[in-house]
Amino acid sequence: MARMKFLCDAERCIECNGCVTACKNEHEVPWGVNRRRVVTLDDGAPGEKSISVACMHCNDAPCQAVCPVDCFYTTDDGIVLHDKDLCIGCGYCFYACPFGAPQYPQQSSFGARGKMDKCTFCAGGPGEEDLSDAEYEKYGRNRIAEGKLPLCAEMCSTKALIAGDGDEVADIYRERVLRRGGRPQTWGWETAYDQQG
Amino acid sequence: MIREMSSLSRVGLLLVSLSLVGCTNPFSPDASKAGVYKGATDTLVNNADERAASLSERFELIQKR
Repeated sequence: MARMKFLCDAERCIECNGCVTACKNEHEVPWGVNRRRVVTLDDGAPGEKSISVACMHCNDAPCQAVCPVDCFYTTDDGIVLHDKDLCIGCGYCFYACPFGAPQYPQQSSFGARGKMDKCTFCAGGPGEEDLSDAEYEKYGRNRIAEGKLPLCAEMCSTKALIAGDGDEVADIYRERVLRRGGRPQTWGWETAYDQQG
Repeated sequence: MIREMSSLSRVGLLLVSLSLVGCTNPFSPDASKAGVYKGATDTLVNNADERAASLSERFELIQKR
């Protein structure tokens, strides 16, 4: 059985934010909610690294463990989803998540939280018919039901972000590391910064 | 008179008690198991095998280039 995973290759990510834009556009995510974002370490310094982060669909998801209303579930292919009809917007999952994946749209004044929103691995959500307008409205596009993979990964121009069965993703990354021989593969790296490795 | 009143009140009491029979609610709290998903069902949950082939094909096509 496949277990769906994301992997972001920091040597390939060029911080173009194409994945972020693709996600927001595909799911029509409300203002202020970012299901995916790009994090850059040592920004502007030689050797800076960027990674694209969203829900990592953990095997033993901490959000699922702390949810007081048990609105999370894991599909057979390892995608962690939640029921927005059950969610009370308490924010426990936000504190538990090491990736900061849960997001809360501001629906009223005084900073009151709305229902939690997060990356669905483009797999929609429960309670509504697959590929229906109601499902799209609540959870975004259900590309998995269409036989497609998450758009963020499919759109990635440098193939830094990979989404699919964890074993296959790991094989690709392993092959890349071997090909690089431990050195960064970024074009122009050595010329621009006069650095080796 | 008192006897009539008491019989009337007895009938009244009987009627009141009969009318309240349907108002009782058996108390049985929903003992839900912690950590067990209680939301609506998702058709994607159980048919992963059906999707596996098409997703694998898509992976070969898009991600493995």
